Amino acid sequence: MSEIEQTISSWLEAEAPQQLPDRVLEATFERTGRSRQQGGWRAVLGRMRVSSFLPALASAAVVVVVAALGVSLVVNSGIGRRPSPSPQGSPTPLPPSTVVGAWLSTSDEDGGTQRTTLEASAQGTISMVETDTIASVCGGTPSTMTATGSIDRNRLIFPTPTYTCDDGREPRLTNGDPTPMNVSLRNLTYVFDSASDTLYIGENVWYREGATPPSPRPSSPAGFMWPEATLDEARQAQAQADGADPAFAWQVDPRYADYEGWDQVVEAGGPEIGERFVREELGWDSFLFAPFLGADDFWSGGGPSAGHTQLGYLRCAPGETNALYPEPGVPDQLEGADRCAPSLDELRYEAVSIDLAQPVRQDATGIWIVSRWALTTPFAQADPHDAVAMAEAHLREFLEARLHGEGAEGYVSAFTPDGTRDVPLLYAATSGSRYERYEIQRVAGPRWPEADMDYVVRLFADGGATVVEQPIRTNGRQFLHDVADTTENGQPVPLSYSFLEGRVSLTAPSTWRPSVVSRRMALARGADGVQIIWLLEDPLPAGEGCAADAAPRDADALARAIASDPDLVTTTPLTVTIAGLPAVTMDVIGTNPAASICDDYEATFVLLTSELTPLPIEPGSRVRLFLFDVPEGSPFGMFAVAFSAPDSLFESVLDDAAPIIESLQLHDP
Amino acid sequence: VRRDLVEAAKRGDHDAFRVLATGAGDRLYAVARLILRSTDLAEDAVQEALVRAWQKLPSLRDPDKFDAWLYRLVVNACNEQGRQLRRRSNQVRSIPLNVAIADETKSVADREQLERGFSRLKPEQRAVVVLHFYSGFSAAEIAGILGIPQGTARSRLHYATEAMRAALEADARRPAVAQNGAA
Repeated sequence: MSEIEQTISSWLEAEAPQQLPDRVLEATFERTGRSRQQGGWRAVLGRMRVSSFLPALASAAVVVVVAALGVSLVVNSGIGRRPSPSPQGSPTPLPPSTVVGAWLSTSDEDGGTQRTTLEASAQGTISMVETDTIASVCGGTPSTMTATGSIDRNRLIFPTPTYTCDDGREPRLTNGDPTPMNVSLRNLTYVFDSASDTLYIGENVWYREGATPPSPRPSSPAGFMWPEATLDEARQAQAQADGADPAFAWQVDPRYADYEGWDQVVEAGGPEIGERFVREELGWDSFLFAPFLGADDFWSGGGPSAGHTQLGYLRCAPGETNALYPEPGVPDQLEGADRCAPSLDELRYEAVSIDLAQPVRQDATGIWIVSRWALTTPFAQADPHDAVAMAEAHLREFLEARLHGEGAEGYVSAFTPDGTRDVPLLYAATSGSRYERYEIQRVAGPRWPEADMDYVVRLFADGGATVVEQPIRTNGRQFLHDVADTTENGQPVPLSYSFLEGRVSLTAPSTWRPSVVSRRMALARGADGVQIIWLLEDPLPAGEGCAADAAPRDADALARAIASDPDLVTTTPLTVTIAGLPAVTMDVIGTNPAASICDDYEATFVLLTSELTPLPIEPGSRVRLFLFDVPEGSPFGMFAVAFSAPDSLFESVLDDAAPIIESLQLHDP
Repeated sequence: VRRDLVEAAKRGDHDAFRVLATGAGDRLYAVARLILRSTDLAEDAVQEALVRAWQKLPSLRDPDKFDAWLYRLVVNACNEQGRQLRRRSNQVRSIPLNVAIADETKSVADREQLERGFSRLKPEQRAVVVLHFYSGFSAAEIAGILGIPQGTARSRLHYATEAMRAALEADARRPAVAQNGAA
């Protein structure tokens, strides 16, 4: 680093603030808590469907194998039977002789050479040996993958590849996923493209050894502009647009220049300039605006960089409908997908990425131009028939294992409050009764483009008197379950929530969600989180104004301090037993008219943690406190449990909260 | 666990988002404060970026890019704050410096020179300088964060560094010139 660079670096380091004020985060969360998640293309695709599923695919199937092979592959990582043939596919599989020979990968990003050799047996099977001179999952040492598979239509399917590092070490996924490599690679599927004589898996392409490698995809030259070709032309166009000349005024759209307006544009099917460019410049007659392809975010960097980047378009085969997704108007599916057949083959679309910029004026009146374009990796839609077959085979295996009482772990990733992936009630109902049978029901999908589907699985126990129901979202490769959706006989099931590094746990129905802020922990329920059970470690009484007072000697002293706080209206403290522990309980039933209102929270403080994170009481709400002196030898000091809810609801929801508080357990981790 | 949090937040889990945003808040604030040179504007920029992150999370395809994406949002929010300020006062370069952090390694004069040089940078150059020299991102990483070509990131970094060097050198010469003139 040069002297000037060192000087700048030191100066910035010294100037940087250390901490974002809490009030900024609180104000932020107050806004986000009230606002729905949105997004242009997400709004088009529907709420919480494809939008939330695509990244899961990227995170699991794709990334897992990117890490494994050093290239971008999409594999069938599910554990299941080989997919059954698609009724839409060609009934005649490729002759094995078509694919035998040696193939080279075009995009081994870690710099190694990946060579795949395919041989056919007399029985019609295909054997594969793939070597990689630099395998990231083997610490950069060479690797070898072997497999035997079969041909289904134009696909080579290898159910159980074996991946080994040549130096004998265990291959490990570089993204930290503990899934064994050979599990991740199950049902590895290559597709043969006869037109280009290549094999591909998702974005990765293999060409025949000795053949000419596929040429780079076309893209715009430096300084590219469209429809004006130069900055001078753009200035003239701007002047004409300012004069409302309709030949240029269409290049002005104030919606492009701010977030909210851009969302409207995306939801309406994309920007006019993009549509014109793709049609007039690229010559695509039929196409689909696919905002999920890129990473578009309005870039207001000023100057020529202001604009939108990486807008994606897919080319449709002219005059054809999408044979794999023929149904129009599927909920939560991109409008028009049924009318857009892939342009390259049964699965793949040509794709282009374009950038938009304002070359003259960067405001609502500035004209927009296309500043860059590039044909990108073809986009592949998933085969819905394969997806259904794989999903149901995988779910059957999962449920059979649950019936047998072992081996069901890892089949489904669960979203759990504590970050683990454990599916609740895996082997038994809450009563301990083992499952006797199961049902699988597909309730929605497959939806374009990833063939994502919604299933419900039901497990029956006690002769059918107990039914555990769990919705599972899948595309045949990735299986996701939100534990909050697990029910038993129609009721949410209790889950154990662990706090304070495992030292405290509560058991609550899955409809309660955890929250963690500093040393104040909470379980919240209700659309606005209005019913909250708090755990506070080392509680301190609120002193004058919004500050903390000195640490009390014990729970009694803390209760007296709270009762004497002039800001608060309280009940008389009582001694009770909660979860087998002695506690002091009292209600804070309101605040006095002249109570301190702490600016950052717009509320009065009841308590603060030792890190000065407060327990607030908001106008119109009530708090029940339980103050505990922990037993001798406990790993932490005094703590408090509080339940807060709006006054109008308090008594009616207290019955729900009481058993949760009573479930309190202390642990010595 | 972090990937789980991002995925949960993408699915609308506000508590997961709170954990993520709380974890990222300080470093986003530092970047915003350094770019904007104003505490108030930086706080607004971080808040806008985080609100937008929540609203747009479902469109983030790769959870592993969450952090880079947040940087992009906060830099965009900084530019938006700068634009609004320019529209209001056309004096973005005279935002008062309200830093009270002592720097033991630099004299007051040095800090003023650096401040002056930095304040002359264009907003897009400031972002690149802060992301590189403070956050430690390479030009390639900055290009990915900001969605600009690598060459653009490199050239912005180069010109910004040179501009600050020139500002320091010019300011360093000024007292000598004045002294000579007075002599």
